[in-house]
Amino acid sequence: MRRKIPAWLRTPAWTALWLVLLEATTRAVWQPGVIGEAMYRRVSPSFGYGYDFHRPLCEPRGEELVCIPTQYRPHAPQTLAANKTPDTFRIVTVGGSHAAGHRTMPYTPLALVDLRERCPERHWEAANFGVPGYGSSRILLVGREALELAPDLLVIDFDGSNEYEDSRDLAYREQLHQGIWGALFRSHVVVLGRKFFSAEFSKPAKLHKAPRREEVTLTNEPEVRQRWNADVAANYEELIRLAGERGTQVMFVGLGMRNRRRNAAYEERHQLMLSLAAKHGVHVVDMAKVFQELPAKERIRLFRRDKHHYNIRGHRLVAGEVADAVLELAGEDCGTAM
Amino acid sequence: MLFNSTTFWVFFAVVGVCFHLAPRRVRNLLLLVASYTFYGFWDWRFLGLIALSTAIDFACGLAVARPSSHRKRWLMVSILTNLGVLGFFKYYGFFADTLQLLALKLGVSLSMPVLEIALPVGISFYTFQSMGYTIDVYRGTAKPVTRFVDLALYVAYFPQLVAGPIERSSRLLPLLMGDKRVDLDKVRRGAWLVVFGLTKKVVLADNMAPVADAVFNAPGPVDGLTTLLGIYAFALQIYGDFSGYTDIARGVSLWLGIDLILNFRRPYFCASPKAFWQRWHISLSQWLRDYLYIPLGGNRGGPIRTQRNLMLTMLLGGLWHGASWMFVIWGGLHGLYLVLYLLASRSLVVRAVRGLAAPVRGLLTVVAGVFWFHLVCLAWVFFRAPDLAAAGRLGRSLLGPLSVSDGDAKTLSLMALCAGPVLLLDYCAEVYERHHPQARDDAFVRALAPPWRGLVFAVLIALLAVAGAPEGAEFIYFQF
Repeated sequence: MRRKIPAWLRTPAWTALWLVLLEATTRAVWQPGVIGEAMYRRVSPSFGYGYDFHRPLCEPRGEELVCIPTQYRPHAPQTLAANKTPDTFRIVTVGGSHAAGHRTMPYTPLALVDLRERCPERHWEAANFGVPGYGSSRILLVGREALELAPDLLVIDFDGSNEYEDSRDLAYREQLHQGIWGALFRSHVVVLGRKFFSAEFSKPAKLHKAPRREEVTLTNEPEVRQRWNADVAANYEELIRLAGERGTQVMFVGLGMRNRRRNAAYEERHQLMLSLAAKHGVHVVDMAKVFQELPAKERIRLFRRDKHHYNIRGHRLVAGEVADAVLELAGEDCGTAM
Repeated sequence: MLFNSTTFWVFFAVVGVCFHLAPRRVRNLLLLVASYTFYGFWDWRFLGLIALSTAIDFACGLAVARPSSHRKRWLMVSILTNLGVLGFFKYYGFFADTLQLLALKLGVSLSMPVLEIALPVGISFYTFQSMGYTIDVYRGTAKPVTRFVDLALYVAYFPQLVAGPIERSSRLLPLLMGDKRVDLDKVRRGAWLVVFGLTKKVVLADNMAPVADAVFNAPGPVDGLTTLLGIYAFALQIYGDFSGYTDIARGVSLWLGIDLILNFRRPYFCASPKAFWQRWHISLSQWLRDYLYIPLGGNRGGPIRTQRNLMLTMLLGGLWHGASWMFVIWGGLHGLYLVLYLLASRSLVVRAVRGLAAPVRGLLTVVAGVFWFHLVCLAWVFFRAPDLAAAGRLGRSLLGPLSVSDGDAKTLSLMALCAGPVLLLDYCAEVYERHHPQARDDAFVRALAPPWRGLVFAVLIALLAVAGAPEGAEFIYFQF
C-alpha cells in the first residue's frame, strides 16, 4: 500500500529537495568543462578568501595534475605528473605577490626552464601557489595543502609584508564562510554565491580603500610589528615542521630591496628570516644581499613602477639564484646559472 | 539580542521548548521571565523602568475600573506617568535644546542642565501600549487585569517589545490570558513570516543600507541619479527593515500561540496617502487614530477642523519617531499629503476619473502609485537626512546632472537582486489578496502546490545564505 507523506511535511520536504537540487546542479555545473576555464578561474579559491573550499590546489586530469593558477599569472596552467617518478624533483612555491609574480612572469617557472636546460637528465617539476596579498597565516594554509603533493622542495618566499591583509581578510573570510551557523560552510552554493556576490558588490571596494591608511599606521606601530613578526615566525616554523615530517626540504627566498634601512619593517623581517633559517637549518636565497651588491642604478631597473615588486628582469635574477640553490640542494652538478 | 542573530535563535529555541513543556498556568510567568531576559540583553538597568511603568498602570487599571468619581484622576496619573517617562528619556534633550535656542533668539540666555540620558530601547512602543491599556479600561473596551504577571507580559512580551507592533489591550490581553494553542496553521504561518521577514531584513534592508548611507552621509554633492538611487535604496531599506522585523516578531509569536496584529500590508503598492497609512505601521496609525485623532474631534466639525486634526496627528506621529525636527517635518509632510488628498478626493476631477472605463482607471492608478511612491520618497529624505542642510544638499544633487556611472549600474543590479524577489512575492500576495480579501500572510504561498511552495522557500533560504549581509545589523526602529 502506498504511504502518503503527511501534509505538514510536504513543504519542508520539497524545500529540502530543491536545495539539494540547487547544490547538486552547482557542483555539476561548476566545472571547467561546463562553464569554461575563464569563469572557473574567475572566482577561484585564490581570490583572497582562503583555500578551505572544496576545490583542491591541483586536480587530476588523465596523467596530469592540473594546478590552479594564481592571480595575474600570464602563463599557462601549471601541471605536475599524477604519478611522481623517482627521478622527479618537485618544487612548490608559496608566498605573496612576489612569489605570484605580480602582473609578470614569476621566478618559479623561469627557474624551472633554467633547471631543465642545465640539467636535462633530471625530471624537474614546479608549481607556484603564490597569491598576492597573502601573509604567513594563509601561506601556512596553502603550504599545508601544497605539501600533500609530495614536493622535494618547498620554497617559501619570505615577503612577510601581508600580515595586515591576513588578519583583515581572514576575518572577512570567516564572515563569508559562516553560512547559516556554519552548517552550510561547505556548500558550493553558499561559498560560490557569496564569492560572486562580494566580488560584484560593495565589500571588496570597501575593504581595499579605507584600510590602506590603516595598514601604514599599523605598520609604524612597534607593538603591532612585533606581533606580526611573532605570527610570521610561528606560522613558518609550523610549515618547516610539517615539511620535516614529510621529508621535504625547505628554502627561504628573501626579498630583494631597493634600499635597506635600519629598523625598517622589511629589514626586521629579513633578520627574522635569517634567524629562523639558522635555527631550523633552512636554506636561504638571500636576495637582499644579492640586490645590495648591485649598483644602485642597476637595482632600480629590477623593479616595477610601484618600486616594490620585481619586474621581469628582477624575477630573472631571482630565478637564477633559486636555480643555483636548487641544484646545490638536489646534489646536481650541472654548472652555474647565467 | 537581534532577531537576525544566532543568540536570539538559541534563546528562542530554549524559550520555545520550555514554553511547550511547561504547564499552562505557568506559561505567562515563563514568557515574562523570557521577555525580561530578552530586554536585559540590551540594558538590564531599564528593566526597572518597564516594571515601574507596568506597576503604575496595573494599579491605575484597577482603580479606573472601579465605579468612583476618581476614575479620571487615575487615568491622568497613568497618562502623565507614561508620557512623563517618555518625555524625560526621549525628549528632554530635544526640548531643552529647542528652548535654549528660542531664548537665545529672544536675547535671553537660558541655561538648562545637560543630562546624559541613555534612551531605553523600544520605550515609545511599550509606553504607548501600556498607556493604551488604562485608556481602554477607562473607556470600558477592555477589562482590568487582576494578575500582575498578565499585564507585565502584555507590556513586555518579547517578540513585540522593542519595535512593535503596538498591540491593543482589548486584543492582546485575551490572547495572552487564553490557552495559547499552537496548531499546524500557526506553525506554517510562523515559518513563512520568519523566513520572509529575515529575507526582508538581511537580504533587502541590510544590502540597501550601504547604498543609502553612501548618499545620505556624503559630505558633498552627489550625481543626480546616484542620489535618486540612494533615496530609493532607503525607501526599500526602511520597508525591509521594519516590516521584516514585524514579520519575524509575528512569526515567532505564532509559534508561541499568540497571533500579533498585522502591521504592514505592502505599503508601496498603493496610490494614495490614505491607503498608505492603512498599510504602513498599521498598529501605530490605528493607535494615533483612536487615541489622538478621534479625541481631537476626528472628522467631525467640518473640513477645516478635520484638516487641523490630521496635521496635528501626523506632526505628533512624526515626533513619536524621534526627538528631532526632521521627524516633525516628515510627519508634517505626510499630514500635508493627507490634507491635499482629502481636498483632491472631493474635487470634480476625481469624480470624473471614477466614471472612466476600468482599463483607463487601472492605468491612472499605476501612474498615481508611481507618483505617490515618489512623494513618500521625498518625505523619507527628511526622515533619514541628519539635518536640514543635508536634506537641502540632497535636493540640489537631485536637480543636478543625471549622468550614469558604473556605480549606478551596480546599485541597480544590487537592487534587482535583493529587492526583486521580495517585491515580486509582495506583488503576488497583493494580487492574490485582491481576489481573496480575507487572505493574509502566507495565504498566497499556501495556494501554491507543494513543489512550488517548496521552491519559494528554497529560493528565499538560498538568498539568505548567499546574499544575506554577514554581520547582524540593528533594526532602524529600535531607536524609536
